[in-house]
Amino acid sequence: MVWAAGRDWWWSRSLRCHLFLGALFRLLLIAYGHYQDQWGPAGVKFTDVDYRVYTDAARYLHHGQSPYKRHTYRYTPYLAGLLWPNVWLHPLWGKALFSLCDLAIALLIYACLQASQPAATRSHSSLPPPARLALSGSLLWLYNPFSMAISARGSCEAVVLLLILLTIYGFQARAYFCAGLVFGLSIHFKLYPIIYALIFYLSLSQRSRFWAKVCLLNGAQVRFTVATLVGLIGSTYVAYRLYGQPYLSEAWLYHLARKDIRHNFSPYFYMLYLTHDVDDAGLSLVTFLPQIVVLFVISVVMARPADLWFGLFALTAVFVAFNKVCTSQYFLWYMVLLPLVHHRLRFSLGQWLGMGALWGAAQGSWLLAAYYLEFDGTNTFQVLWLEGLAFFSANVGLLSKLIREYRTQYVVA
Amino acid sequence: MLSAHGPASLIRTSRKSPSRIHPRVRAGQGICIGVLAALMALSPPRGVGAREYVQGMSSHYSHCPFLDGIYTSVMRRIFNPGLHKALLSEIEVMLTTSILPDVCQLVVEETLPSGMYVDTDELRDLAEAKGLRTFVPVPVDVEKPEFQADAFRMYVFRDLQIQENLRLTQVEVPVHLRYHTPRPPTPDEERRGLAPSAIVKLQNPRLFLSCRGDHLAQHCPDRTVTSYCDASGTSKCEYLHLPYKINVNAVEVSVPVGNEDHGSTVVGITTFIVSGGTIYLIIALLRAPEIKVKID
Repeated sequence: MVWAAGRDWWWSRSLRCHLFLGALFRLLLIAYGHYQDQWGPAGVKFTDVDYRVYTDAARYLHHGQSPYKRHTYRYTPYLAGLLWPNVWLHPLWGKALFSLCDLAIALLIYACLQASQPAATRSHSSLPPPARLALSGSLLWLYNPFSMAISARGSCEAVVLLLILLTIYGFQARAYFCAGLVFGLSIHFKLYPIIYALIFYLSLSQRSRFWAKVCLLNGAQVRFTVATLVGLIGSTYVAYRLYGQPYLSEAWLYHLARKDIRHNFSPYFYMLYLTHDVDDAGLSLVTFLPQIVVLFVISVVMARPADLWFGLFALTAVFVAFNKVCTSQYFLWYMVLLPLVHHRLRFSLGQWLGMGALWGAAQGSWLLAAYYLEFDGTNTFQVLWLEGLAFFSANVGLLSKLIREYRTQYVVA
Repeated sequence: MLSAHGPASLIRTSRKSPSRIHPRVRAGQGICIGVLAALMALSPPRGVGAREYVQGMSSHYSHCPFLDGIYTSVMRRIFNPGLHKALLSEIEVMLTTSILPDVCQLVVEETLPSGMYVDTDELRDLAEAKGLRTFVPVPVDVEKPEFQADAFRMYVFRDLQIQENLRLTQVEVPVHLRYHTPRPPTPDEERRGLAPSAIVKLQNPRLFLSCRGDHLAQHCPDRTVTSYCDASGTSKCEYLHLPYKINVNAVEVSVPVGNEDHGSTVVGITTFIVSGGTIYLIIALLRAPEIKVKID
């Protein structure tokens, strides 16, 4: 009875109330982080090391100098600009801004889901009431401990995720030019959203054949493509004019040429470490081709407006799972898209928990091996490699389960 | 540049051959060796026997009476298994016949090998939290493996504490190990079932001393060196290069490395699993959707 009362209270609250609660949790987490950093044990920092890099870059900006004078600042200069108030207002400004982006993402998820309901309810009569569905989607993000912690620690992921959600919202609102501008800016901010370019482009065509979708352009495709190029090239050109070659070297060329062989979740980690001195085209193909092939197939198969959100989710999950470098922060890239499709994946609570447990256990056992290597000095490279392959297999298995469930058609008897 | 102060400038000795110890060090030797031995007995460093080494002296230096009245000893230890370690140096300057002013600064110049690094952001956190003053003149790339990284210097600035005729300080710096080149296991490792590892060797530091109100370098012009005045690294000052006794010839730690013999197996199985995952996902994407009947 208490459970039922609590549940009813939960769902009866408006989005505004939940946004307030979400903001409160984030503020508390930021305050806790500040306390931990100031008075906690030395060497155990809550704040992400990159937050210091952004703040230092903002300080250079404040003194009229290039943010790229800060060693390891490898981001767009606009990020340093966004964090300029860290210098003259308060050092926690950036964390508050990233948390605000989180809340805006929850709002956009709500808006997208609510706007999509009339069409969705027609094909799926068993769906929950629209408002509740939109609310549940936004709450999945709002109370996601990953998103809370990452923004409160001062990682800038929320900014690029907000730009992606704005692009999706632009698509929903059929404002393709605006969507393209924001999409171009998101690629400028962080290279990876470029994987969405093909599916966005193809989904704007009503034609059924792939080549027709590609070649027979319509107005929406032209508007979106032109705006994307304007957004990407324009923002990059302005940054280049401002900071020249250091900007190109740090924010673009470094990421394109980066070869990090230290242990990470990627299935390729040990292979790349053992073959670091082998300059073989075949090896590059082995690490590059599978990712490109699956990304291409998803972009083509899911290139319909109705499947766009799931396509974006699947693209991101595949990109992260097949990538040459994979860290925990990358998981947030697909987590943000899951709320948009959660209602199309009709698993029971037990099934969701089971899948979550498999994902968590695969990750946990990898982390255990990594702990022994990093903090105990045990040679666990082989175990780490096998754990990395197991985590990859778990990701592939879970994603294919989600794909099968998404594509299942229910006939009401 | 680094090799100029490398092993060539070091004189090694051990307790078993006291005749090789430079005569200048003999003053006050008994007391300090006692202190050193007691310290080592309390916490002997792993893999290091009860030896002493003399550091920072070379035969070309002319006689310096001022240094005859100072006896310096250093105890070095490294803590924590794994890739993230804490390097502790306990430094004791004993005044026998020479006198030092009350306010003295000691600069510890560490030369970190390519297999080891300090994280300058972490050092800055420590400066804020514990007042640890350090300066690293070059940017440090924490991602680079050993075979792509270079050795570099770190300067630690310490104020000496007065304790009767002793001037003391201790410094703990977090150091990290880089990834090293994979290699096949040696026959001995293979026989003992051990995975391959590499050795990272951190040479002993150089110690520079300066005191407020006394231009120490004047006493021993041959042992005058120029180094950074403070942690800002903006200006340089003259210091007296101190010889010292130390419990280790060099700090050596081992770091696990990948087994090169596994190369082809790892490439083969990884390619197989990733290809399998690719095909599995493509099948899931392309096959006809399932149809399920739901009772309303």
